[in-house]
Parts: sequence; C-alpha cells; structure tokens
Amino acid sequence: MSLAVRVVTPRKIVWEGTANSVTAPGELGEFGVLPKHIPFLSTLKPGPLTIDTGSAKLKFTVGLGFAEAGPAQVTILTESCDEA
Amino acid sequence: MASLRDIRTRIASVKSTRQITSAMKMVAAAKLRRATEAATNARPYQETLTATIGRVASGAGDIEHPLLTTRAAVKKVVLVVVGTDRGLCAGFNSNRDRKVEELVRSLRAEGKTVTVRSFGKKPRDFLKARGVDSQNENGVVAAKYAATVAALSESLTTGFEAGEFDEAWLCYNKFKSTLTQVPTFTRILPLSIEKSEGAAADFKYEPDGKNIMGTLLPLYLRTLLLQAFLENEAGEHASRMTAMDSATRNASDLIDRLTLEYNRSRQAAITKELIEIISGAEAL
Repeated sequence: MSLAVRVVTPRKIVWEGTANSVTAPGELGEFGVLPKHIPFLSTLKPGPLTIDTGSAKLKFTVGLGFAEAGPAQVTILTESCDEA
Repeated sequence: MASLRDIRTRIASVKSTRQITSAMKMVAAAKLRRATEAATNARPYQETLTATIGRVASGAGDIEHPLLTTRAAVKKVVLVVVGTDRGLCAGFNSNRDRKVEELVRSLRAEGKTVTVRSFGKKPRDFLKARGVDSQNENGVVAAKYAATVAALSESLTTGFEAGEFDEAWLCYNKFKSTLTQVPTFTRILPLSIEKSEGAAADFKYEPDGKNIMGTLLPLYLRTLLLQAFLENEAGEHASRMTAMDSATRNASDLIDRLTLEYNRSRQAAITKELIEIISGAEAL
C-alpha cells in the first residue's frame, strides 16, 4: 500500500511518484499522511514538506497552497516549492 | 520612370527590411515556444485548483464569502487590461483595446465610474490617446509575473473588500492557436466558481469549509490573473511571428517586382542605344 503523490506549482509539476508517507505544514499545524488516510483537505502555510519514498526522504520548502489527501493519493498544490 | 540607380537603391533597402523582419520572425518563434511551454506547465496547477474549489464549494454547502458576493448596485468598475510593451504584432493590441474602449464608453454611459489598469505600454498609450486614462502599471516582464500577479490580486481584493469598487473585469487576448487570439472579458471580482457534481461529502476540511475558502479564493484569483499574463505573452509572440512572416513575404514580392522593373528598364535603355547606333549608321 502506497500513496500516489503529486506536488504541483504554477511553473511545473515539481514531483510525482509513489511514497510511503508525506508530512506537510498545514495551516493548523504540521500533519502526516499515511496510506488509508480519510479524505482530507488542508491549507498549507510556508514550511517544510517531507516525502518518504522508503528509499529516501525528500525534503522541500513549500509556500502558500493546500494539500488534498485521500486513501491512496496526496496532491500538494503550492505557489512555490524548492528542494531543501 | 525611375532611373536604374533609384530602383537599385530601393531594392537594397527592401532587402535590408526583409532581413530585419525575418530575424524578428525567428526570434518571435523561439519566444513563442518558451511562452507556450510556460502556459502548458501551468495547466495542471490551474486544473487541480479549479476542480478542488468546485468540490469544496459543493461539499461545504452554501458558502458566503465577501469575494463571492455580488453587489446589488454596481457603481464602480475596475478594468484590468493585459497587453504588451512592444508593438509590431499586427492587431494583437489594437483589437483588444478597441473593445476595451467600447466597453468603457458604454459603462460610462450607464453612469458607472470606470477605472482602467493597463499592463503594458501599448494598451496604456492607445487608451490615453482616446481619452481613457489608466492607472500607471509596471511593464509586462515574464520574469516578474509571479510578483506582478501577487501585487495585483492583493490590491484588487483589498480594494474590493473595502468597497472601492463593485466589480472587476479582466481583459486579455485568449490564446486559441498561433493564428488566432481572441480578446476576452472575464469578471474576476466577485469571483464565480462552478460547483462540481459528485463531491465526496465526508471530506474533512482543515480549517473548516468556510475558512478554507478564504485561502483558496485568493489562490484562485492569482491563478486566473497568471493565466491571463501567460496567454497574453504566448499570443503576443504568436501574433508577431505571423505578422513578421507576412511582412517578410511581402518584402520578397516587392523585391521580385522591383527586379523585374529594373531589368525591363535596363533592357529598354540598351534597345534605345542600339536603335540610335543603327539609325546613325544608316544615315551615313
């Protein structure tokens, strides 16, 4: 069981792939998403985003935006995203 | 009839014009490729955002948000015109600006106050020449789109919420294809969103549905504006490319005609000289 993750900015799709877990800076606090998460939508504030693919932990810095999570997928929409 | 030397000079000058127009065409083609690429890259973001907003709107029931509320009496209108700094792109700017001018006049005839915010030198100068003053905005620079859009949407939302105006419209050229760009007018404030059907009702929102709109709507507005700038940029280069292509072709035609004329008059001069020589010899 894994998550299909997409990180999208107005410039391009920054990252797309499968991951075991995602940690994102929600407006009301940092949250983590594992597979089988309930349908969930949260706004993001600028902060660190971590994607754990199992073999590596990818770290990004995101700007304003939101994250939409479901049982098998996570979409992160943000105005800016840089690798940290 | 023009002398041989005159025709020669004209041919030379048309040739150098053709060189310039064909160079401009190639530059525009290269820039067009980059601009369409940027517009294509921005699409997934726009699509996902629009879909999500639609889902939130239908999932969260009736949402009331200042940015979505239509005002009963519309007295003051803001027009945001997105154009270019440079010309030589056929009717790209003037087609749109003529429609803007028309709209401004009809709105003023209805007794509404209209403020125009022009991006790009061309629309600003065009409207100014026709007695429509616009607020001075910065030029249109691709590298600064993000900053321009952020500042614009910020000033629009605060102005709208403070009641400085009741409606805002966005005017730009929609990029349909390399050959056609259509002047479009979209109302950006108050925003209208399409509710999408079949939304998951058990979605959990954080913060709750009403507050989440407060974050999503400005994002949506910025996306709309950014899209206008990106399409405007692609359209500008496409329009310039086709304009310069036909200018190059016209120059070639002109050169052909002038060369023909040159050869004819040269031949005529030779024939005349021959006749003179022969008739001179016959007289002896």
